[in-house]
Amino acid sequence: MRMQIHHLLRLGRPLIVAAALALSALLPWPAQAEMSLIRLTPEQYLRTIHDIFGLSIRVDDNKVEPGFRDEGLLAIGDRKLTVGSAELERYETLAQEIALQVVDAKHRPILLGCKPKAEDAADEACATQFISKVGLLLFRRPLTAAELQQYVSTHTRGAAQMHSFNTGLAAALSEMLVSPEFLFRVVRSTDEAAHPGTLQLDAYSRAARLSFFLWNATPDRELLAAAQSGRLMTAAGLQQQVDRLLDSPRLEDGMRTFFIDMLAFGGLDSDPGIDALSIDTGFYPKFTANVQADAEEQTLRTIVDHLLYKNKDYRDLFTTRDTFLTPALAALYDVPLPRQQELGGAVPWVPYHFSDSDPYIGLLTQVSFLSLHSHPGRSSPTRRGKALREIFLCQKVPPPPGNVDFSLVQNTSDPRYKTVRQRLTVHRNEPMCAGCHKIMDPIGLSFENFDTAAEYRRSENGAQIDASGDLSGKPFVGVQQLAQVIRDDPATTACLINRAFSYGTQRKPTAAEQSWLTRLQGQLSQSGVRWRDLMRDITLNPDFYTDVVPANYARTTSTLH
Amino acid sequence: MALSKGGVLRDGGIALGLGALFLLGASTGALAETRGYAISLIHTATYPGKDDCPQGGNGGNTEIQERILMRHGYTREQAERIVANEGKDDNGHRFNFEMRGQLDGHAVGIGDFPTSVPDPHIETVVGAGPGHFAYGFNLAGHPTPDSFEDPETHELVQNQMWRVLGCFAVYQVKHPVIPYNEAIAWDTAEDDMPAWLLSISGEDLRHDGDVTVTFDRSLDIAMRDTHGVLLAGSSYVIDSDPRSHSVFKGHIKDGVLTVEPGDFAMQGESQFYAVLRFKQTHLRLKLKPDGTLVGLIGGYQPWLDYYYYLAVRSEVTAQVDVPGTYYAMKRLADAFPDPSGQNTAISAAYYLEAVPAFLTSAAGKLVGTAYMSGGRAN
Amino acid sequence: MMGAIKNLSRRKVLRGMLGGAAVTVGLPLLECFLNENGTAYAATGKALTPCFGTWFFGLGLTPKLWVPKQTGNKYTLPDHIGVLAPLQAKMNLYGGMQVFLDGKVNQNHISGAQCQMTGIVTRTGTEYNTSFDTLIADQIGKRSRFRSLEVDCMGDRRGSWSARGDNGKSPAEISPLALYQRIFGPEFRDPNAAHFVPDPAVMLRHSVLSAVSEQRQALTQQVSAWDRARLDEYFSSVRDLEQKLQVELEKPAPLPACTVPQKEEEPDIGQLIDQVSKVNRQFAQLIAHALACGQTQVFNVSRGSSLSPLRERGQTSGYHQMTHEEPIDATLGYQIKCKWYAEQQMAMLRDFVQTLDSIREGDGTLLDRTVVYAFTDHGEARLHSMKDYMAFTFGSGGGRMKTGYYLADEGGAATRVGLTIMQAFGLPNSDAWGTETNHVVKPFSEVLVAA
Repeated sequence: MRMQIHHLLRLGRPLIVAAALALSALLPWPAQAEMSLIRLTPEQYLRTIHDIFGLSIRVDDNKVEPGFRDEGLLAIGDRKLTVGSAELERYETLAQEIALQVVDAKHRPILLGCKPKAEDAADEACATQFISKVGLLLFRRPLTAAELQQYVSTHTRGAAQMHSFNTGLAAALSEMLVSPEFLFRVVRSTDEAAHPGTLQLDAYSRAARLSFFLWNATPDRELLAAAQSGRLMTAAGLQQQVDRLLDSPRLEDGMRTFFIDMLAFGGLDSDPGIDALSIDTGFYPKFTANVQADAEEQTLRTIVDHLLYKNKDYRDLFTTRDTFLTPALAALYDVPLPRQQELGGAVPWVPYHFSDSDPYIGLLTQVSFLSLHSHPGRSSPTRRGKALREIFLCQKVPPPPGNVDFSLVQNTSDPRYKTVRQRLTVHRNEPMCAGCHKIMDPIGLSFENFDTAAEYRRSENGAQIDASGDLSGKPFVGVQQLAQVIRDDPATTACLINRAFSYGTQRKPTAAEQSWLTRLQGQLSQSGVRWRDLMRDITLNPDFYTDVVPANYARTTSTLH
Repeated sequence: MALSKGGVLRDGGIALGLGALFLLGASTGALAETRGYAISLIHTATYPGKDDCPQGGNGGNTEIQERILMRHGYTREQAERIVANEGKDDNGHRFNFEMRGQLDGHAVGIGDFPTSVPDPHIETVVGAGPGHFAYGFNLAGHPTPDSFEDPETHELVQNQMWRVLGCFAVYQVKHPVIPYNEAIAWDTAEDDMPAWLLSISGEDLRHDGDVTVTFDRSLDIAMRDTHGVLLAGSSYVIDSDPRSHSVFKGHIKDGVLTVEPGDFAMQGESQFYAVLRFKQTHLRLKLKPDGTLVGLIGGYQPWLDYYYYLAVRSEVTAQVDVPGTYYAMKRLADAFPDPSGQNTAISAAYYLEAVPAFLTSAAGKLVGTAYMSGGRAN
Repeated sequence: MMGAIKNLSRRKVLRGMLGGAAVTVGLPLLECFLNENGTAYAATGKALTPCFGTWFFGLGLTPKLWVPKQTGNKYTLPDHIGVLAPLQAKMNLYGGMQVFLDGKVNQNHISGAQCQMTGIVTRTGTEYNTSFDTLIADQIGKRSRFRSLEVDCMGDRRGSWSARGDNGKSPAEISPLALYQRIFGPEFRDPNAAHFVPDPAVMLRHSVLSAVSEQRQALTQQVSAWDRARLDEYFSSVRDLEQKLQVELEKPAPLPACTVPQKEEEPDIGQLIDQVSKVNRQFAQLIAHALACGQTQVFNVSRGSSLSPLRERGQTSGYHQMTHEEPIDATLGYQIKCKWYAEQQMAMLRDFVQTLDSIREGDGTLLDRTVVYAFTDHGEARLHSMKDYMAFTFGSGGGRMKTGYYLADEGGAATRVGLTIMQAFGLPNSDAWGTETNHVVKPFSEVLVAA
């Protein structure tokens, strides 16, 4: 008991201490402090450095560990990542480079906030001032007295050894930059007996969760102050911060990061990420490097414009004719793109509206979807069907069974399997294959008018593509109808809402949370699935600021009751 | 009809989709179609023959430089040694090929002052009449003593430019090989120069009939596809500058487009053609099923235009004897005499290729569509 | 001969030959530095440290075509793997092995490789345990600048099969240029340099890391039980980095076979065979030089994670697709294109191993004191089969393994190869390895050298 109070005091949360004391008076099982670690992503690292020290600080390549997808999101996979040897090696080098820039002649007048008494020796006063200011921002909470002392003494040692105040200060800063308190987002919570197995995040952890969710950024000073004062733990205080963050243009950053994760632009199973896309350009000469570079941005711009600037319904993203194009994309989609462009000037993004007779409709016919889930040299209905289900409907498609006997499809005396369609017919007729392929191939076939490079092609040789299928009982023929079916399917909305909640909490929803999410889906389906509304609803829900004790670590209930 | 779809065009505003395709030119109110193109390749139309140069031809840079040295007094052996030694003689003294002209006692560049050296009498292509081939057009309207036979149409045509150039090794290549000096120039220009455009308007371009052919320059630089050729289906804004605007009455018959002779002019960029001009322009373009155009453009070209093109590139890059070419062009020019009687234009023919492109006006109006087989435009 | 130059100290020789300048030209390993059999430094009697590495190739080989007709150390190498002929004497081939799923889902292209590297087949594709190369690194690589090096030749950072701890695979370096900078860049201390001065900036960095290390106990007490292992790994990384800087602060022992490789232009990184082959060769050079210069003892090389999207320029389908879609030729009885792809990978394997073999050390080569373990994900890729696995080892690890053998198991667990290697390196607790039916206690003793 004593130890726990001391523990809590050290972490500096007077409010929680009071609450804990009060609770512990009522309940026999004491609240237990927990500390979880979530690794900072390379993007978050970069943004944090720039947010704190300014954009002029150069940060070189830090994408050592690309992360992995768990339960459909990289954000959830991040919980399982640590900082390995190669990664720490890189981060230590970066820490040096960043720290040296911060104390260089150009930056220190702006960033340090104080001048040392002498350039060639330690100055503890100035160092303390800088370190505590920066520490708050780097660790997303105030430094403890012990931590402050630790870093100041590094400064003093370093300054003495190298006869330079600045070098000593850089050493202290680099120590903070490799600290687990920086490289990980430390989530401090308490497991209160009132909600066994559910962890309540402390104020600073709430600030961080809110900030990374809405802006994908480290909490700014105002948010940290709200945490420090305890305002963030009140409903009114929370609402104030949520509204502030939702009103900011930085909401776009958070949205982009979320959709890059949800839409699997970094890769999905055997489908490579956009960066690693290897479409055989010998077959698809229009799929130039410009197209590859523009593909992700086209989709993100479409989404941001639709959800953020026009405040439209998410479901309409599947049927919208509005998008943005560059000349390279326009040539690929076979449409004219009148534009104002200076000779040799920057390539513009031009708002474009496809007409009703154009085959391009919604997100599903954009390059970022069609090409990402294809083979390098030809289209893949199966991969597209699988991707559609997994990404937009949150449905899991089981992996192909091991030890499948493919000799059935490779009977050489009957070489029927020369076309995509023929091969997939076997998929659908063979009982052992049909179960899964039935739910993927028909969807994918409706996309067959779009080749690997997302170019539209008419059927050749007069062969009619059977692009009919059904989705959850709703039939469709062709991609235009499919888009409408997807739009109207409740699973589409449910999937977005689930993903958003899971992304922000970086875990799967609990059963209780799932019920709430289902209710939310019902509400938003009526009122309109709008991004700000969804964000607001999620971030004002107290459950958003909880974590769960993993199953095999759950403590048994108290026997004293 | 089409603009009623409500696509109001603002600054970078919403562009219309394919639903609003068919515009332009149809003052009769009949359904009209305009197809747009960007020129993807243009070079001298070559057709080397075994007997063109009985004296052996002018050769390439090595032979050209050896002859220059010999005209300056070196023996053949000395000339060969100097050329093999990067232009340096036995004393280490480097012969300045570019500045070998003499004017008023000063050394001058032979590109700017071709007459500062005597006429070296380069070899020119011999032979005329049937059986002596060169691409071209019957510009004179009747056979002339120096006509060639066109290898495709078998018409008797005039191409005095070919006479001038055809004995230099660099031009003794056959399509699809391109004269190296022109290939390099085009390749470089493609990425930096505003694209050259053309459009064909008619009632229904899938059938024979009368058309209007318009050339323009673009405000945009061409884009390449992954094979390195011009990207089909790109969009280009038309430069309204009249200096590059040429209109012709034309006719499509059996899939081949020809025009009534007229004036042609297109602004280019230095290192490539600064300007490409023809009088009595003729055109012969095949409309291929995949939408590209292939064929010939020609006419009477001011010969100084092409001379400057070579001179600017310098002798070594152009791979010709530059003053020699000047003298030969001056001598063989065959049209548009100046008051002194010197012909200012020379008959010439160029190979031309174009890929489908969307053409838009600066105001954002779609003017020509990219017609490609398999594309949605058909 | 030996007697005459025995009295020369290393220092004298180097100074005399080079005037005190740093060595950048390779010297043959002078006999006076070695003992009688050329295996150790005379001065210290320390044996040259052995090395270990893995080389993963996806999608196996064409079934039956790679199987020699004889077993033992006098077998004829079949044509399908004929490119390895120059290395046959230094190679062992293992066949007839299995990976057991014990009722779990076959995570195609993952479970097989996972089992051979970690001894465990997990339920889901996202779990991964400590791989045995890290155990060997703990044994032989503790004093190295880099604990181990992981590279992928196809631009896939998730391509490696190495993992320390249970928190996921180590990321792989995909850029040869970046690896060059890491190893031979400004922080490289040439072991053959005549002069050495510890860099005070490095000393400061080292002391900063020590201060971070000191937080270990306090933080470990605070962190929740379920994240303790991950925090542990973070601190292991800190320790590795301290080790690295420590090495950079000490004068390294001379290694006459060490030369700094040429800095080559960054190649095209992609999935086409010619690209992958080139990257493989560049990484081979870097790794060979890194080993010869004592920068690391352990390495892992892969070519894309599992699915091997290897592709031939101009083909619409890649290797993996072909394994499932190419019909078996009626006359020949195998998939023609797939066989060709498999042989391309064998050629890359040969390139890699020969690069190690090309660095002379005494009367042997770098390969002689290395063991390279080449393994694959499926016995028969077409069927995602977990049977009929083949694997290779090259090199004897400095006499720790016999070579030149073909060993045909009869359905035993493929983890036997890993066990054999661990025992060869004398790892403690290597009497057994692996879990469930992949648990093995019997190594391939034919190739082990009696202790």
